[in-house]
Amino acid sequence: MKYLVIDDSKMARRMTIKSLQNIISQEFEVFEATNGQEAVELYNTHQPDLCFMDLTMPIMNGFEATQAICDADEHANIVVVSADIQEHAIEKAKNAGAIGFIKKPVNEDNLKTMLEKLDLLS
Amino acid sequence: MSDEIILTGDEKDCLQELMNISYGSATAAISKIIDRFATLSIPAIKTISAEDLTKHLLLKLKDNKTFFISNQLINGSLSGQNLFIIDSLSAKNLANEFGLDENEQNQEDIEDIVLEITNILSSTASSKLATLLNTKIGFSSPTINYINSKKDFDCDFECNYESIIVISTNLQFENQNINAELVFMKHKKSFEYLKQQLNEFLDEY
Amino acid sequence: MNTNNQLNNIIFNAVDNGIIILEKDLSIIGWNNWLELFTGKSEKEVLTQNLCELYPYINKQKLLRRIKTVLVTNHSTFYTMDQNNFLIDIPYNNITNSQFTSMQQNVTIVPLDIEKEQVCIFIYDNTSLSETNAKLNDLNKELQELSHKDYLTGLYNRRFFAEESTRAIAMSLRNNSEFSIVMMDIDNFKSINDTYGHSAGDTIIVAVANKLQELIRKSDIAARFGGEEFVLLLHEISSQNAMKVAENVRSMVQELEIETESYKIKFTISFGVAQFDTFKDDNNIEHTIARADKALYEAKNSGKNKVILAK
Repeated sequence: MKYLVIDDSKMARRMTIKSLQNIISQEFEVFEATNGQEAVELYNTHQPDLCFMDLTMPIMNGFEATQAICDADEHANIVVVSADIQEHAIEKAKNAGAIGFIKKPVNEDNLKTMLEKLDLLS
Repeated sequence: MSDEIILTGDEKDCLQELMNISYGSATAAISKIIDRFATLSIPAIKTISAEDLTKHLLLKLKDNKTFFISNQLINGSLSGQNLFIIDSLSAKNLANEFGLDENEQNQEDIEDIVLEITNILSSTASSKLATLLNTKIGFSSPTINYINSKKDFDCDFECNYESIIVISTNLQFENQNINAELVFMKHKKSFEYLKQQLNEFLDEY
Repeated sequence: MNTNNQLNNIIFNAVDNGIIILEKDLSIIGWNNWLELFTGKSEKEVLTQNLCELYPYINKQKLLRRIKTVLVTNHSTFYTMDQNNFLIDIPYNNITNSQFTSMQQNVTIVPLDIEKEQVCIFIYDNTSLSETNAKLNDLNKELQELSHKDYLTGLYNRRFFAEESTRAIAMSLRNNSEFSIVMMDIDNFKSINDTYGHSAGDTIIVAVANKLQELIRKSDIAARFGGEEFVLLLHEISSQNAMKVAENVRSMVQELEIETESYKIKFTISFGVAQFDTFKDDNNIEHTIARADKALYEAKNSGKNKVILAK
């Protein structure tokens, strides 16, 4: 399995990756991007199975990146991860193509719930 | 004479992300309470001397601005002081967001609203941070000062804080010209505790 | 299980502050003994009533907002008071001489049940603390007035000037010597404040004060009379010489350039000069000042940046 973690905060990426490591027993590959633009590039190169996308980033934000990736690949799996949990932010993310939303901080519990919900926990 | 408070790169990263999460809670609270969309910018973390903070605050006095500073004391292991700084025009616009139309606004009402926002932002963000770091804190009632000139400035920070860790962010409301700054100041002791907790957090990840 | 309930009951009714339990819509579902005692309303009477209908002077919008905040953040909050300093008006009938006719209160709102959207309002009697604070404020004011100096500039203040001038008159009469008053006022000060900011305005005031200290003799008095107004008391100086002193100050100030962070500011001062005259002034310094003031007014109205002698 390949995962793409997008967040301008190193700590945030670390938290998502560590939680993944704790939940998933099999080996997997993780790619990291620090802004929306990098995210789009890395997605094109590696075609990850699941993306974790932060919303507030410089250069290209999470909404735009989600939109860009989903426009190019309608089967893209993007879960938005954000501290900003206002209703309309969630709406906007959905409209851009996101398939799920995790409220920060990412931990084993909420990550596991999301993976089970998406049926990506094999 | 003051020993510098120093955060390592990792600790800074960690604190930044934790504050980011805490701000998310704070803006969500505002959104629920007054039904308006607000954003807090990504926190800029600096460690500075109390003198520099005073300078930074006095700098706001140029360009003819008058402003409000409200502050809330934090007690417990992360004790310190949170400042909310907003210029008069932004405060008026903020009052609008709270449903007070132009003619209803007098200084007392505006101050009340600034206090309310301070309470919401400061206590929500601080509590969230405390929860993330597995610790408990308490709050005092926020107080407010109207700053017109250097004279109005009661700089007692200089006595209480040798170095200050300043986590500042700008609050912005959609469609409105409201700019405000939230500043978190920590005592040296709580700063040491903070470092400890940050490292524990880092160890988990 | 029962003991917990018992404890709650004891606390609710024995505690020395008011506890109101409210629904989100402000209807009262709890009203403790303290309130019954101080308001004269029993719990039975007020149950299910709307708190703001019961006490229409309470700011309903503010209270509703606060309650909402408490329920959303799950935190207690302080209810900031308006100038009345109470939520519920409880007339304070005390034998001792209290300056407050109503109980001064501190109010906290605490979340009780988030699901049911219920809160508790705690009311504390703050009156004696408020009285002590009020006395302290009065004493501070007195102290400030008793002190002789102006806080911002370090010059003498108006009060001290009044005392000094009385002494000056006495001395003048005794020694048959003369003294003069120079009233001065920074030109267009309001405009300077509006353009460059209050902070710059303060800097200018301090600069003028410092200049005055430099230029006068030890035996003379320089005082800050008001916002941008200064006054000099010059001992053993006739009006002619006082004019020279004033002119000296005027031209020095004209050359000054005040630098702030973003600006270089130039400004001028207008002057009115009057020599104390036993007959004209009827031995009353107020009259001397009035004459100097009139001369100052004339200077302002005839182009500013000049010195005028009083008649």
